[in-house]
Amino acid sequence: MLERVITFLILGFFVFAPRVQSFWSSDPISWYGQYVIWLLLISLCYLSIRRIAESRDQD
Amino acid sequence: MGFSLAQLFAIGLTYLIFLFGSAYAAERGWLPRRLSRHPLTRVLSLGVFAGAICFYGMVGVAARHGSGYFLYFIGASAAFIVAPVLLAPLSRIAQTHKLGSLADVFAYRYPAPWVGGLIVVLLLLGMLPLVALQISAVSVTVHLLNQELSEDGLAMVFCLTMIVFAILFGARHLSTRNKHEGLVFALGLESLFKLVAFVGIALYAVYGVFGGVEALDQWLIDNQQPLQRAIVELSEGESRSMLLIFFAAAVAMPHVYHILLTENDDKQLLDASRWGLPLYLLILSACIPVIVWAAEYLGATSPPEYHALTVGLLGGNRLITILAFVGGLAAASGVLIVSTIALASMTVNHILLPFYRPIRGLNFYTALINTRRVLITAIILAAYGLNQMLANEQVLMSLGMVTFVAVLQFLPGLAGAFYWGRATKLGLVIGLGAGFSVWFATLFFPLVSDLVYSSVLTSSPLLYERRLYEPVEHTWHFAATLSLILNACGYVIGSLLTKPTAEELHAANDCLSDSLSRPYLGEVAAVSVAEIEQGLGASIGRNAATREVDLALAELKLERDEHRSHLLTAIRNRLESNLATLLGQTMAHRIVNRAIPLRPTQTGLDTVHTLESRLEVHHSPLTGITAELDSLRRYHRQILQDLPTAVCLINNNGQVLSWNGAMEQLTGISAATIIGSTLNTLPDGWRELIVDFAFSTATNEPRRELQREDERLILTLHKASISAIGDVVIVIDDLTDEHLLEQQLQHRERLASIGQFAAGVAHEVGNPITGIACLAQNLKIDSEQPEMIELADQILVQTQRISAILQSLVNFSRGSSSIFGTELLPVNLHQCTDEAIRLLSLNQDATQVRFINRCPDDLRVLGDPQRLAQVFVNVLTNARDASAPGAAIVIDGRNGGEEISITVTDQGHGIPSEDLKRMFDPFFTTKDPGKGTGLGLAIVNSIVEEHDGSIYAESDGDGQGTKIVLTLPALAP
Repeated sequence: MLERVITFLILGFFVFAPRVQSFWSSDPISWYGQYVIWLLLISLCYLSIRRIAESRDQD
Repeated sequence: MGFSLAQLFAIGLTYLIFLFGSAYAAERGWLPRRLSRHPLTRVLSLGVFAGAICFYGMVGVAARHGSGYFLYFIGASAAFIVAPVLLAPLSRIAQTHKLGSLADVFAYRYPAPWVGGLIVVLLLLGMLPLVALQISAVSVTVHLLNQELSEDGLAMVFCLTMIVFAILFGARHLSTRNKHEGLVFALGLESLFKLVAFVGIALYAVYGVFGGVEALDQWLIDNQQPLQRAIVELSEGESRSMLLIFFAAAVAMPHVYHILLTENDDKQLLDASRWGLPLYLLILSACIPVIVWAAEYLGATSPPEYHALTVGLLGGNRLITILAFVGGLAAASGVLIVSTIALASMTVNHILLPFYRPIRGLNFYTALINTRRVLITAIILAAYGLNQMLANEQVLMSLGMVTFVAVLQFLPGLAGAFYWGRATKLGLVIGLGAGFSVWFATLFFPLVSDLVYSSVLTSSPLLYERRLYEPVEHTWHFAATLSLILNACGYVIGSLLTKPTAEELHAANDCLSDSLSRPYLGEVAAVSVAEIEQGLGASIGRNAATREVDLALAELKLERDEHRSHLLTAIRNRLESNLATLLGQTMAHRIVNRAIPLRPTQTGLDTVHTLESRLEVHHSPLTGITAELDSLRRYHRQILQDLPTAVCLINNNGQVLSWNGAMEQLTGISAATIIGSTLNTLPDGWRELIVDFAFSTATNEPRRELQREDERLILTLHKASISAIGDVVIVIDDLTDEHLLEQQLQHRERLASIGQFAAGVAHEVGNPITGIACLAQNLKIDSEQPEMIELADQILVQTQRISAILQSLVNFSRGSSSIFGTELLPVNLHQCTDEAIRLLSLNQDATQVRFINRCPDDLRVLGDPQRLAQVFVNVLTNARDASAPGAAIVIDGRNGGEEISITVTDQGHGIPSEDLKRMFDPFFTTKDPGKGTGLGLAIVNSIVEEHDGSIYAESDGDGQGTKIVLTLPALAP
């Protein structure tokens, strides 16, 4: 389930990335905002992989 | 602040030597393996993706296009975050089939001898600009640090240095089969160095240049408008194209593939890299904006690509400048070395090896390694040449985009490989042809021949209108979009217009996720390992073939005299797998197909064994219904294996397909040795039995006898045909035990009938004999003549003799009658034997012997005391009759827990071995006629058996005495 969420988020980013970029570019002071989203995505990915590994170990 | 050439060369060389030294130490095992094989090291090694494009190019993009640089990192990260989409199936196929490069993947999925070569040529062409970019980046940075040095000269020095290190890193071993663990460790170190350098520069920018975060924020507020005016934002279309381009780059770049899938055999690496590499790229990208702002703050005038270097230069910080230089060198050298190693390997495997023929005296492995070294040199020099040919001062990113758009052309074919079973090689060729044509016309050719190109184009209104003569940084988006659309359309239309071949369908099935493809039906045509070696020697040379065969046999733990076809097939598959790591899968497959051909067969033996062995390998990853089906298969297989009846399965070629546990026990032949062999390899006896029956028309053989060691087996055979192609199942029932029981029953019945006969004879004959005895008695009393008295005495003696015989017959009939109904009492065997000895002692006419009773006093059995006494009387009588006067007859007893054994040992004349088995048969006697009826021991045997005991005799022959051993169930205390 988490894998699908991540995949959709990536697809969503692909579609909306230019708009998001324009938004961030308009305010260079909060340039780090996009990194926060990216870090969140990485964290979700890490959690997903850990869950898969745990369920594999249980099997 | 400047640096001399010597200083720069020393710094660069020191770094490269340190890197190579680390690689060498890791390979030799001088470093702890938990360090060299640590997951973090392996994930960091993937940072090779971030070359000069990242260290320099993206800084330039950030300066020119604002947050457009972010798309490089996001696109590449997306490829790893959503690895299940493309990277995971690619990894699965690559590791399953030992596909060492992208060319191998395409050649496997779209099988044709030329596909791999085509991919290699396109990759060589496409990657040249990227390699040239690395050279250009380093030469420009050195030039920036020392303006007196010419870029051309610096580029040549850098190239020569890279040639040496690329050969040392990737083409040093005589055998290139081994993975370069050192290279992976070195790349991990290099990525760490890049990270430290970039972060160091960024921290300097924030704290050294601006004086802190607050100062930076204030500067950004004060300069917001000028900063935004300086930036040309990418359009939406350009942004999306960039995302896709860098997504494809992370999947299809040869240096990324080489490190992720060829040099690493760790299946867990992909999982770790899904979050590890994006995190690494995130940290790198976070440094870029502050570096750009710091350079702006310091008023840098050099090209913005080199802001990482100029920040230190303009800030007067020597350490940061060196850090930037070495960081850039690390980034460029990593990409250059790994990509040339990968490209050289691909070129050897797909372009040169197809034409290779063994030359006498030329070592195959040496030729291979030298060819790779030559190719590495040639590729780097070709990139240098391209660098020299660049007509204009090309923006770094432009060079990079030429390569990235080229690599993008492989995306449709790669995606179709794993998601569209209908894709064909013709579709691939059409798609690649269309895409690369646009790429070449719009990106590559303008790069190298701006003067010629623009003069051609300006004469064409259409092309002029399209502004294709403009620099790459303006045309890349159009080129990428057009080439990808034409590529995808050509791929789809071309595939739909052609029918996939059987090979393509098999490869497609294998590539589609989670499928366990059915192997080809085929037996190895060769019948021996020597034949396989000879076939292989014709392709790669005799010495190389011997070495490869020895390696395969050692890995499979087989011997050189192996002849079973399914194991010869396993040897063939292992040879192909091992050669694939050396020559690439396509070349290995081609060589093995040519050298060790398969003979198509419908027997299914190899299919069954290959499928089952692959199911064993894939057992744990199977899920859902496939796992349930596999469990059901195992369950039924176990039922067959554990059947108490011997079952074997033979195909129409006489090969054994199945041999269950009961069959192993019956024949003494293990399944592991016989399965796959023909029936001719069975030992004598079994061979005739099974071959005769398997190929006869009879379906049942009710009784067949077979001599097995020292016993004779009685077998029943049944046969059934189980398939249209003539496989038969043979069931063998072992009836030996039943046969023995039948014989024993018949023996008992015979004894019982003899007993009845004896009782009848005794009864009929007894009466007249009694009358004769009475008359003789009267004659003796009434007669006074000595002759008459003597005659009467003789008559009486003879009647007594007849009476004794009749009494034996009666005893025998009683002995053979059942003891059921008789009250069973505890019998003390010591007392019983004592009584028997007393009875025998009463007969003074018999041979006088010494009876020694050593029977313990506590031996007790449950039985009929009278009959047991008779047993000992008869046995001791026989022992006495066989002994010389004064000889000793010893009676011993032993309590064995559940059984008691009594032995009677004499020192008489013994019993010949041929008589030992018959001595308990009725009417068998070795005594002279008139001395014995032959019923005594028969009666003993009968009584002992009725008491659930047994009796046997041991004797070494004439003059050695005899030992009679009786065994009776002990009475529980």
